[in-house]
Amino acid sequence: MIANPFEQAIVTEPRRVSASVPGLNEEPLERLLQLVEALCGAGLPRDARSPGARLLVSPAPGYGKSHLIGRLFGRLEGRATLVYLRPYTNPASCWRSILTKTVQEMEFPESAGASPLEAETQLEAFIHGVLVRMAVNGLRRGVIASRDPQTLIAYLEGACAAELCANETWKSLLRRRSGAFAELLRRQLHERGLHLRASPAGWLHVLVHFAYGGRDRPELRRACLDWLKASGVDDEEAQAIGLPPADRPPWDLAGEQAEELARARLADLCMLAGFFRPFVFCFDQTENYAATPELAASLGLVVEGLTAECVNQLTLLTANLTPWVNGVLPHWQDAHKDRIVKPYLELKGVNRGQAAELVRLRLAASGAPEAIAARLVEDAFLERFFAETSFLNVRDFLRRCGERFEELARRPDEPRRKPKEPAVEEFYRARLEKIRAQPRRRVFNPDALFWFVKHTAPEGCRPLQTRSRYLLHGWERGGRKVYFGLEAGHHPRRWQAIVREGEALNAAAPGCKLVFFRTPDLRPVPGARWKTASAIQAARGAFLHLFPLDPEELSRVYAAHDLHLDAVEGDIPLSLEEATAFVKAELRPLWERVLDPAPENWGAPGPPAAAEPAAKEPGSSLKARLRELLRREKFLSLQETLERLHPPATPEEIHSARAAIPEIQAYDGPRMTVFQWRPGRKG
Amino acid sequence: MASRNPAAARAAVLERLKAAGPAGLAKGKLLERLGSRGEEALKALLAAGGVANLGTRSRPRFVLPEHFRPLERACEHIEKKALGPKAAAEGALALFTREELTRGLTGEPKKKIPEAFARLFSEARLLRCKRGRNLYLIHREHLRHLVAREGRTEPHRAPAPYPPVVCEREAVLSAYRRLREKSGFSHVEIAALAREAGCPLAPLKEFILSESRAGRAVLGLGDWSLSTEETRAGAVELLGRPHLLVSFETG
Repeated sequence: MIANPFEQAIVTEPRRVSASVPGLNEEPLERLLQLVEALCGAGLPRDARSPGARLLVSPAPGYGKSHLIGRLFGRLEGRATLVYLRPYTNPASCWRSILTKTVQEMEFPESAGASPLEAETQLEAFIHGVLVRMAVNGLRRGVIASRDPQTLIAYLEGACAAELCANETWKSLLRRRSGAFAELLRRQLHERGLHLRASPAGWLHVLVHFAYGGRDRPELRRACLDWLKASGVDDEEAQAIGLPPADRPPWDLAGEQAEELARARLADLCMLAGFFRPFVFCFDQTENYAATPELAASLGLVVEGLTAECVNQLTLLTANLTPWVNGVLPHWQDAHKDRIVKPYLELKGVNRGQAAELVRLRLAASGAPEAIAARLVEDAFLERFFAETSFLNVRDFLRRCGERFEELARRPDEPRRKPKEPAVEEFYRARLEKIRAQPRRRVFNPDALFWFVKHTAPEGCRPLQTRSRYLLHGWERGGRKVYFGLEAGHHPRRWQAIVREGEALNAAAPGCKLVFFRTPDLRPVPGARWKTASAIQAARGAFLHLFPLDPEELSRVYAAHDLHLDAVEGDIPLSLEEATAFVKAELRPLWERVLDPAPENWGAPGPPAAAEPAAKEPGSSLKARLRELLRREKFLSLQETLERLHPPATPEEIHSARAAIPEIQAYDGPRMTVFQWRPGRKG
Repeated sequence: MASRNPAAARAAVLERLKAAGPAGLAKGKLLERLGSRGEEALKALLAAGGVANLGTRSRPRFVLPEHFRPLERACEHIEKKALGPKAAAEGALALFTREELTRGLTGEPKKKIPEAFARLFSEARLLRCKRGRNLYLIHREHLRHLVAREGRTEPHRAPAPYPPVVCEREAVLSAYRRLREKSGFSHVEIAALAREAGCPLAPLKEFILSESRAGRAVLGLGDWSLSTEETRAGAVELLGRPHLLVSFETG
């Protein structure tokens, strides 16, 4: 099989960038690296402020924005905490969306396909960095007493997170002297003119408990994550973590107050980053913010908020020129526009030398025959383009190379066929495969779910307005009303309030239902110790549909959302109408289950989960078989892998196993996913 | 004598096309005395893009890539018809239909007919006259002369071709700098540049293309779907795609 090495012309996941052409868009990349470097000065904790946000702009799709972001992420691995932000969809919850995505990103290791079971997560590294640096500062200044501070400092600076997690003395010290450490934290930040919005004690308890809280009560670790995401935390769990009452968000927080809290939490995270590494917030696919004036305007407010209130971070926006100028900027206030620093970072296309190098890189990775390779880099082929212009759109060039490759790879007796653009289904399948391969994508994503609820309902549904703090949208079909909420939190009183609201709605319109999606990363509702458990279970048998989306269904919804985003961005040759028609048809069976009026079909409300389920690790036997197969074959498509693995495995299982094998790299193209064996590659 | 050497055959083909210039050559003339090697060389050059076909598959007209300007050819053909001797005979102006002005166009230029009309309308070189459901076209030069000769009794003569307007390089670059300064972006809309520089689109486009070939300008695709008719009128065709934006190396 000779896969066309030019088919993957679109970077769909910045962390999965293949080798780069030297010099291509080097200037903006180097500039961004310098900007991040400027945030990494000496003297921890830092109080580094960027003069404003940065705009990376491209004359049109296909000049390599996402590829450059991938290279930036690659160069910054280990030096900054990188948060890749796809567009949020609800301006009323933009800060909660950004904070949730930030924390979700930090829950995973830096490497694209790595699983949190296999490598240290960014959050663990962050906490480790903050605690160690704070302690070292205290030792150096004599605030923390020690018989041999230098030895202790050397130990702390050399120890990894796992070592400290196993060090009972260290953990005990943090617990016993939590007050002193909180004061230490407060003072060290105060010296820089920084003041946490939540109390230092609250922060310390959460960070320490998350890092060292022990695996016997995993629900407390998840409560820490809820707090980090500015969600309500159950009183009993807050008590167990040690959260001061003042730091426990009200369980009924909603609207503006919830947004304020999320904004404050993010600002606090950025302050704490001064002990560790700066954040880089990358807003990609910004064309999607032009969907409504409110969405576009909210992005301006976000940029203003980040640049004015958050230290130790770089805000980067990527844009295609015309949609940015015509669709987003007109809805920004002048003060927000001024937050973007000039000169803008602009992308160029490939020049002739870079084009030849790009072709060589692609061919080298593909194992294409030498004869074909030679024809593709010959002067006559390149001269056709570069006689007319010195720079070419990268994607356009790759597409032309793909056509030429098909032509050269064609057997002499084979009739010439017109290059076929992938059908919409192929674009969707490519995105589906990509998400299946990435554990970090299969988490609660309120933006994608909100889009699913609002924009993909089947024909015959009439929209309903809601005036509720818990319900975002509604549909009516056949006289039955269905309301939707997106609640990732785990506070029993909040869920009790949701049930009460449902009871009121059901009384007013019998037969209506409330749907709340539950993803595998969310905690089971009701909780094991909730006093309100029976009321919630009763509601589940009447009007409350806690709809579990398993990893496969989640992948389908998110793949559909990605397809929509890419169609808007112009990254695929599909109109928005075509993409919308396809996703509606694809998601129809799911919608039928969502709209199902019969509670007996919603999944039996069994007893509350006694314990939180542990994350499932891919089987070692499958990993070993997959590793051996790729080591032998070097290069296989997903389909071939499915056929050759014995006993067989599902695509989902294969993706999960592959993610844990750093030597196997996945390439997602419009028509297929291909695995390549790359020994010596680190995860 | 047929060339036995593929490289020599290829060189011969390219030499002949170079000599032929924009007019190009039909297949027979191009491959005269080159035999099968010539055929192979032509095939290879076509596949690699070293030669382009302005004609049809059955009646090809081969040219070098720099002369592959089907849109410009279509515009020239239409204007020639609209300005030709039949246009102003017998003391009256002839009105033409689209079909009359495009008769004789074949191959690649024929495919560009809609774009050619769009360009000529946007530049007001062709004017539309409507009677009922019928649309007639007239070149603006005839109206100019018609108005100018009021009171005169000489017989009407077809006007001289409109003298080409040359864009002043510095005027264009100054206008570009102003637009760039205002927006903050290196790429500016070609249509906006024409307005700012006070330069008609046709000569500006020629200028941009020549600057692009010289490596002093870079064209950008922009976003056709989000652009107005006016912006689209400024499109410069490059490698078969309309480009709406340009940036210049201004040192």
